[in-house]
Amino acid sequence: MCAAVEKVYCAGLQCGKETDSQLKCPICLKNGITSVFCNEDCYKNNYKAHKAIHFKEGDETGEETYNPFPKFKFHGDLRPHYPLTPKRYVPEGIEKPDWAQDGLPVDEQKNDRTNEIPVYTKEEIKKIRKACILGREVLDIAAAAVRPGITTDEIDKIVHDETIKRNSYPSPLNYYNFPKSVCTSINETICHGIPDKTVLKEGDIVNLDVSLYYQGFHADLNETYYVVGDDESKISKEAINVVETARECLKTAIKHCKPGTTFQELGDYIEKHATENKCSVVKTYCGHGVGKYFHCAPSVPHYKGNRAAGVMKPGMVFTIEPMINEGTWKDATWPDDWTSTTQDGKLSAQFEHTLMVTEHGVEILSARNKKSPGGPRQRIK
Amino acid sequence: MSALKNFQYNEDEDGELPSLVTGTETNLNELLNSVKNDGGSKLVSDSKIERVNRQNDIATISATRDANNIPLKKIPVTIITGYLGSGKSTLLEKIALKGSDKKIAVIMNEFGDSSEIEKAMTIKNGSESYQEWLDLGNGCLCCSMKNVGVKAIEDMVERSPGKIDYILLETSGIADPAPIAKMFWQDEGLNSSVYIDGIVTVLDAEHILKCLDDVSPETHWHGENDMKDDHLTIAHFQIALADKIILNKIDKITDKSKLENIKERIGEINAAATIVESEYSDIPISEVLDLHSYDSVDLDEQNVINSKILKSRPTIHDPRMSSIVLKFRPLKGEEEFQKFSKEFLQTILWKKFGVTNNFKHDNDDWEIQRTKGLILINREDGKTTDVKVIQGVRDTFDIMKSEAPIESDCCKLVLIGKYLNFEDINGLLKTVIHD
Repeated sequence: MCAAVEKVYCAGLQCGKETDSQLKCPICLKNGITSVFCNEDCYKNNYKAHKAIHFKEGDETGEETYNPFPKFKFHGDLRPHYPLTPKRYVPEGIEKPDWAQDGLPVDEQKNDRTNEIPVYTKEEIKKIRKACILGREVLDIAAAAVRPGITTDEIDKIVHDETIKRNSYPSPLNYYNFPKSVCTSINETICHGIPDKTVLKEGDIVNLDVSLYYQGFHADLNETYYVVGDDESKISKEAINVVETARECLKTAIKHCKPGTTFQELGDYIEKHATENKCSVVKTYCGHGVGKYFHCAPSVPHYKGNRAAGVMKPGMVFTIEPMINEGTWKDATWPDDWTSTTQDGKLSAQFEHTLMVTEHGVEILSARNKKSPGGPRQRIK
Repeated sequence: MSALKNFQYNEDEDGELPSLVTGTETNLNELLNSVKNDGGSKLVSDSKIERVNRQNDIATISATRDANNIPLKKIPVTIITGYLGSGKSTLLEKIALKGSDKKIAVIMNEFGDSSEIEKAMTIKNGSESYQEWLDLGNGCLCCSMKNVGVKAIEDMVERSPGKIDYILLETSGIADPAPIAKMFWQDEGLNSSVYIDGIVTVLDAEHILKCLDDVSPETHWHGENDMKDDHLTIAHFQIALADKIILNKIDKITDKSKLENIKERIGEINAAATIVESEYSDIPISEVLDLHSYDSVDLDEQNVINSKILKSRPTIHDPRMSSIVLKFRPLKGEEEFQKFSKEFLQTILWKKFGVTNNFKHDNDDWEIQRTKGLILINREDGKTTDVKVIQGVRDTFDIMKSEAPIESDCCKLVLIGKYLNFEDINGLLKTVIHD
């Protein structure tokens, strides 16, 4: 078997064009990384994003990690650990969404203006169902690797490799220039954590949010996992309460899904359950339509009294993904413009399914199976 | 619409950028030895970090406020729309110059035309003028309830309590005001420090009729940037969404009957907005402040400016965008109110949002842009009547308790939208509320 020739693409996240340029970033090359740019302009135009993979001054191994935002007042104890690893390669044969190249989801933005909730045909639903089965496989494999000592970047590699092995594209990769293939959100991180060299430690909680694109359709699912080593007692009762409450909130909301249910009422059920368990509900981020587009109508807010438009109808596909906090519901964003954490630095947990409305109820397209890692734990009094 | 973030190299922060290498240079080792790893230094600018850090200050301020149960002082926002050349910018300049006992921030930058992620906005207050940097974060709106531009304005308000009493926001001339209105019209849960007071649309009296009839994409839809159907102009949308219309440059209209004709045409599109005539964009500041267009309704016969016309005219001149007014008896109790909400309001407002029933409307392209209404509910005890206000922008609507006392003996609903057919919509209402 002869080795497949990898085409060369410009390393500029906002360019990404195939190129026959030989020009490489010397800083990367010095450290054994090949980053090809079309020309000096592409290098300059993308430099701030590219620099995230550069090693620290004086370090030639890339193993010495650093906090890229030393002057930022973090809200909790968690810190980013750069450098990031270079953008991962997606083989030629895999169908890619339009943002894979330059970061801009043009079709999705066009669709946003149509103001309607898509209703899928039987054929389309078959494909979405398949994408969701693959998404579940990828999440389960990644979750099985969660343990003290692993870095979130190593989890990203697992998610990326397992996704492309299934002829799928990891939807987050380069979506509005998100640099990685999965979101990994640790402890106070609400969502959109960027995989880096942060090492998971015993007692942490970590959310893995997997989305993949298979034959024209997206699947989207996530779960929060306990990082358990030898010492079970490292998992605090607060962690268990927030994680289990988030898990139950999603379950409760799903129970109410059927034709005729309004999207806005889901927030009432979710907030009620969260409040009963002394937790709060994040309001800034919401569930969304998924399928032909990564994100589209409807919006599915998780808090009570919201004004979301729409009622459920057979053939609609959407996510519910409540983010539940131990303390305040308020969020703050890191200077990377992605990582969203709680304002008080207390824990946040999330669970997400892709759901399809059926004639009489709802089908959990991203459902767990018997072998799925994770799962509920008993609360500690 | 969101765009991508700016990752542009900045010499001051990033230092001198080394030249790219092919890797085949004879002096490669020498070249590589001369470059230094620069990871960790100024990945984002210090000024950006400072701005993000101010989030913390805001968090502290709001946490203290919450702990002491001090309510957040919400700042009203009036959105000013109108074509380039309508006199919109002049109007804002004049308001800023006149000043007021209120500290008014006039945001002059084009809003709604966001090709930029970070931008400065100009705040004018009397003779004072300063720039405030809006940090719009990354452009990703995916699954986010808050528009980044709105968030930036909220942050600005919260970190300078007492400095701003009112915000006037100028939109881009080609902007459809509905999405902007929705951004600022947030539900209580989102705990915003700003609220939408109303939309004021400035029209050039001399050219408006021509504008409404001109559907060439070059003049109104700025080519492929806009996806609306070909039969409507942005002027239709700006009038439809208006709570108040400033009919400017009336000095250019010498023929009185022509002026009446213009007002009639505008009133057919939007029966619920008051029209204020002006010359040289000169109007009292009170005309654009404290409209309360989203928390109360003013559908008084006198104020529904064109109810006369709506009744008397034989046909509408422009079916593409028009108002219909529905009047009906008070609802009988909670059950009928729920029925009205589900079977009537949801049907007409959530047409493409999963509503399934047999409602037929003669033109399939119909779409409601703006809803304003007053609903009376006779309670089961036979004595009390609840008064509720309905507000809606496209598919988003809310029914709230009326803040101001309202005298009315019947329910009134004004619907403004594309290709609306009174008979069909009124027919639907009759199936829900029997006489």
